[in-house]
Amino acid sequence: TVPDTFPSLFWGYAVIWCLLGAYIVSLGFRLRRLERK
Amino acid sequence: MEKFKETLRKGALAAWVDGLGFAVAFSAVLFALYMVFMVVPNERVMGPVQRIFYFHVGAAVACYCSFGVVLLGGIYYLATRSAIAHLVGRAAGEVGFIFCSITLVSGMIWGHSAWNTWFRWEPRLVTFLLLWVIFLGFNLLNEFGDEERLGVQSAVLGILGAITVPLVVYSIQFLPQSAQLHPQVVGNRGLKDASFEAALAAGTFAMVALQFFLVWLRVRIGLLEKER
Repeated sequence: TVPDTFPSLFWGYAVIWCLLGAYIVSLGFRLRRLERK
Repeated sequence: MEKFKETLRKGALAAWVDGLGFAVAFSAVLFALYMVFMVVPNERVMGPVQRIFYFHVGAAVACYCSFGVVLLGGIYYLATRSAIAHLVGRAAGEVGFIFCSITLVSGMIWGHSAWNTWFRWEPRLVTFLLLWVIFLGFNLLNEFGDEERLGVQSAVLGILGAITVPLVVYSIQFLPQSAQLHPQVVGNRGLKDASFEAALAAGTFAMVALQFFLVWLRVRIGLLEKER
């Protein structure tokens, strides 16, 4: 039987994409604000 | 008028590179996610959590690439005092730190599931933590450092951090495999299924493409901030 390690997989991917997503969104906002000035 | 045209041309070029970079990075990430969740089978011992591997290794390779850019930018800055070199080094250091953090945290979550511990004081984990701390310092220095001396200090610290990367890569060989938890998968050709290798290649390419795209965006932000 394959062990049920899905919760760890979920949290692993949540951390990866939340960190990356937050950084990408912050870069996007900074770029847009600077280009509007 | 000529200056206006030049600015317009630069703006159009930047927008074109923005679009191309986003398209490549976004499609590479989607393809990697498809490979990881739809193609690769469950690993026999660890089960689903092994799927963290593809982006964990990809993020590590991406952060090494970023720190390589920091190294080149630092050396070029010390040789020429070029403001652009400082800007590129700073941008790559920031993006590299994000990928370094992703590698560290995803590895800890995976380790907690596979090894029943969040962290262990063994060569690979300790040297990677050291790399993370150096680039935490690099980013704090660039944020709060003395503007007059920042260029040289940032270049020297960036070079010091980047030459830690080979130490991290080869640290896995300091102890025999039986004395440490972190495996030496790629070096030992430990991937048993061809789809594992394909997914690893896809995940690594996606993270590296995303990293170069983010460095480009961060450099653009730095240039716009300098103009203001």
